[in-house]
Amino acid sequence: MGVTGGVIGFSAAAIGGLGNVYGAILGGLLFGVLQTTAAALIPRGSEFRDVVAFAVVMLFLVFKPSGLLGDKSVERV
Amino acid sequence: MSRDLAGVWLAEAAVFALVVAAILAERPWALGATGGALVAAGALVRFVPRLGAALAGAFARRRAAALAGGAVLALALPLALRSSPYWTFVATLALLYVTIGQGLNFQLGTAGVINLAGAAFAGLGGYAVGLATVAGGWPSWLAVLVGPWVAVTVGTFLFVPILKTRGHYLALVTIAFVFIFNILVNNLEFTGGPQGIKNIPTLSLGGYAFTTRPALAGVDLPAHANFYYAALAMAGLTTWILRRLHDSWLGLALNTLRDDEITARCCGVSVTRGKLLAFSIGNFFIGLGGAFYAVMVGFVSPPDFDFGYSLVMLSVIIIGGVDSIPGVVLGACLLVPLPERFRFLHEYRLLLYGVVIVVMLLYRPRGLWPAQIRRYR
Repeated sequence: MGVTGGVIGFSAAAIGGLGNVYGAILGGLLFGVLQTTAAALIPRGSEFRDVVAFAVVMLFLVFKPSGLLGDKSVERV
Repeated sequence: MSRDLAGVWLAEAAVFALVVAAILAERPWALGATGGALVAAGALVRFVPRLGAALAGAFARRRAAALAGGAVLALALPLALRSSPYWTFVATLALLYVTIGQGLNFQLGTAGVINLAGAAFAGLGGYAVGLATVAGGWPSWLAVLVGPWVAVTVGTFLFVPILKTRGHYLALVTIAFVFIFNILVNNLEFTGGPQGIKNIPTLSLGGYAFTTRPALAGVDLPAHANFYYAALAMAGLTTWILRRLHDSWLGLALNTLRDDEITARCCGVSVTRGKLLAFSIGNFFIGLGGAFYAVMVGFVSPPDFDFGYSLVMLSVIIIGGVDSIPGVVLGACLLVPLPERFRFLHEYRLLLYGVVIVVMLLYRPRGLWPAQIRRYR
């Protein structure tokens, strides 16, 4: 587990949206499903499941930079 | 004034002598004495205002002479450490961290692009060298020159998520990248898996292999001195280039970008271009450090580039001073050798490492050598 576990937790909170309690639940669920699906469907998936999961997280943040339920960041000028 | 000159060189020589003595001290009392003398000298300069002011004034007036003195001492270091190949190696490692730290500092300190994937970019440089030389049969020097470009190229793929996200999310994107890199090199066939890439040929320039023991001024030096001088040239060049960039209009624009993106945009600074430039330039030097590491050690494997090393690179900058070019040099020269010196504490030295960083952040949050306000004349 170690550092990887911490980073997975952080990722889950981030796709849910940092600062939102329900976001963390949703993010954790999504990350877990993603990992397991990757392990099941991809050849040698158990080795690469975290690669798939982290890559999806990165892609996800491109389209929703503050997570699913995170605050819409509106900057006032 | 020649008094200034004497003061500057004397101070430099004294610090050099004490540091070498502390490094080579074998018995605990000798280490204690030299370490104590260093601390006492530091306290003297810090707490005797007249002495401190006089020294600071001398260094300010004689910057060129101070730099020249420092360069001579850096060149002389392998001579002083010639009885210990191991410490020559550690000194070389510190110089590699100067190169990597300057690259990372340009991203993180100057442009404010958080990059916790330093280890991955160094690893890309290192693995590029390993694959090019072992599988491709390239000469090492060519591979070292090409390796950093691999880091830059892969870095551009990471660029879209970096541009889109900020703050914690940006940090997460880069952390995720280190893990992806590490799992991939650990499991792919062509990177050798957990065994890494062995037998990377050493550097050789014009028929001179870097594993031959050089003799300088009639003194026989350990073979690592070759790498020391090459790394010294590399670190010096990197520092010079990034200092010029930092002081140029580009550095100023990136500082604006870091402090307030909207203001920067209003002043006509392109956020995309600025961040891409800073990120790519930084990755180049991080990759260069990794590429050099690969030919120096002759071996790369996944644990050499795991997330922990990203944190070491980050602490080099935080300890030295964020956005401070001399600070990064100081940080690398302290943070790499010190844990080695305290190896007799076994695993507790990592505890010491953590304590040092916490104490630093509490009492000197801007680093040991904080960034100065820009002065243009």
